[in-house]
Amino acid sequence: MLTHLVPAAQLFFTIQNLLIVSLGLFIGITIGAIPGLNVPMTVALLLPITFYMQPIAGISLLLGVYKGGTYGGSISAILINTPGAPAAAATCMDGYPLARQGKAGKALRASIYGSVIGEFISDIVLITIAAQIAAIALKFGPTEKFSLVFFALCTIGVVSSEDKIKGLSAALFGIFIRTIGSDPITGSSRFTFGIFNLIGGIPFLPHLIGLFAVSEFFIQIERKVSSSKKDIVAPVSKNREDNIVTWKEFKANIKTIIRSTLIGIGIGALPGSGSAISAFVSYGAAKNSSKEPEKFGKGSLEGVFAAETGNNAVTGGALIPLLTLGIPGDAITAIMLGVFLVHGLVPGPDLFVKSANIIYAIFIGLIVANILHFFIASIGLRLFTKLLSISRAILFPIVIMICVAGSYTVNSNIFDVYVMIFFGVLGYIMKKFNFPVAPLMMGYILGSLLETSLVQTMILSNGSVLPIFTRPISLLFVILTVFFVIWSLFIQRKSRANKI
Amino acid sequence: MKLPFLRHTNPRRIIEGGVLILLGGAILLLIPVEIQRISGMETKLSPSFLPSTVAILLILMGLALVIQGILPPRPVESKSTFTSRESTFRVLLSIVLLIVYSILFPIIGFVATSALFFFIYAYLFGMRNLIKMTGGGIAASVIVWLFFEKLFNIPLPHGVLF
Repeated sequence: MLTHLVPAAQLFFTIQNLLIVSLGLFIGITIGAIPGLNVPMTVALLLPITFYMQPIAGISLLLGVYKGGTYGGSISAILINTPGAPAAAATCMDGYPLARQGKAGKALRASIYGSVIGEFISDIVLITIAAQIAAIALKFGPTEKFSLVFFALCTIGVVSSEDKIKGLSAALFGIFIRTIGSDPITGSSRFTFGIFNLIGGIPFLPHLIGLFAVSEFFIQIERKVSSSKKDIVAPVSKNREDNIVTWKEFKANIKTIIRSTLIGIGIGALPGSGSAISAFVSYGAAKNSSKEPEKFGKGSLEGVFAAETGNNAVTGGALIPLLTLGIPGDAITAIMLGVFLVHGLVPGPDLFVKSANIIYAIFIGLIVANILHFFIASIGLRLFTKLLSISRAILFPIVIMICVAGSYTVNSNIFDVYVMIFFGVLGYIMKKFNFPVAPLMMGYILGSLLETSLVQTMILSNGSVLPIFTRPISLLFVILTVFFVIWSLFIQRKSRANKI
Repeated sequence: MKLPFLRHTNPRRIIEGGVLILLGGAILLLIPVEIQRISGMETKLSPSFLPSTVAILLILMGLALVIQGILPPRPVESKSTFTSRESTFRVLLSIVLLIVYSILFPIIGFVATSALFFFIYAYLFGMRNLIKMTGGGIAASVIVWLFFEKLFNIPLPHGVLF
């Protein structure tokens, strides 16, 4: 590890990279703070631009947006009781009551501290264990890879939606979409309908811009909420004590911060879960073990710390499966996979061998981003608060402009824009019928690996799929998949029975 | 009047399941037409193996949704799918406009087309201030153009206007 640190530091520490990380954080916090705009959408929109950057710069930009956006949602959650991002929904429960008590500044500071500490510790865990996991994963053959991808797809299918069948169906449909184009083994064409542009498959970028950005545009235009102006609570109180988190208050919440960080890392590392789930689990755990559970929901600082630490701790955790196994931990890291692939970097264990300097430069970038995050969030608090009142009638037409420009510029091909519109409409319909879009994208991204590893397994075993159940690591993933699906179906049935 | 065993029927879920069954069925029907057959290749290794498996699983998922829609306990319903006829019309209109936008911008030019469609979309979002709509459209499209073409050297179509 140490041998790579010096060249990695030389790669990362340039004025350009530092500015790009700061820009990413600024964009992320801004987007996160404005309800309606979300992080996956922004990462998808920025992806075409990163294609024209150096790999470290492009990845740093998106990591900045990821970290900033996950935190930014708390600003609107605290000040207008509307989470800017789903991850901040749990922050509303105590952040807004605190703001109504004139302690918005305190809640906002707690949110910054919790977020930065959560992501800092999760990055350290990532840096510490990534190489070890990658070393184990290097020994994986096609059978283990197939079982791992199968496990990841089933997990994201059942975790990303309340309705497990819909989540799994979306993942299956994503795999089908990936089969469009040339077959990876024989090269014969599949489902191209005689369209020349489909021979290379469905293009990655227009597909995800459509699913995440254009579909959201249709959702917003349907709601026609032209302005997010609500009663914005003043972020600063006259009483100094209400604007800061005192050492005593911080000390009292250290246990909550550590617990929420561990929950965030664990949930982040699980494919498909993401920061919203982590925030609620952390919040629940903090309430259960709190000395003052009755204060939760009425303005508990502990509640804000728990939710915000929990959601930001996911950012490092979600990078563990992406960097070490090539399996994205959530929708955002799945989109970020694109920036690696376009620069010829295939995330996974091989990356630690072939491009170790780049990996360690990313690790340095993560730590630097945390430090910059603290300063940008603290200094720009008033500015980000003002952004809450920007009209969506201005924001969303700009979003659609960037969608069109971004999809077109990848190949300078208008066909890509049509693909974007198709997936935009598909994503919109899926959202309206409560089918999650994240599993579809994961199915699309992992479909190729699933197919090639399955075919390789069968070639090695004369057409038999038995090795999937006889090789120990593969069998472990199969057992985990079955257990996870049955357990989540049981939980769903139980929660439905409770609602009825 | 519903038959006793259909008392719990959830039509929406049955429709959703039906769509999945149709989708799986359509894939199965398309496989012989749209996938080149390779003679002598083992079925499991052929290019149609994964699509057929996915299609069958989609049909099974669809059946599961239909069964859930028929049998008790009735699944807890989420919010209504479409809010109103007016909002549905607005979405349909915005889809058509987006198609027109994507056809026009390589011909007319990115900046001019984007400024025009900014105006239209801002109107659809409820903005009525003509100065903001026009000025905002021109400013936003020029900024996006500058960002792509001048800052990152990514060319955008100029068309007959700009």
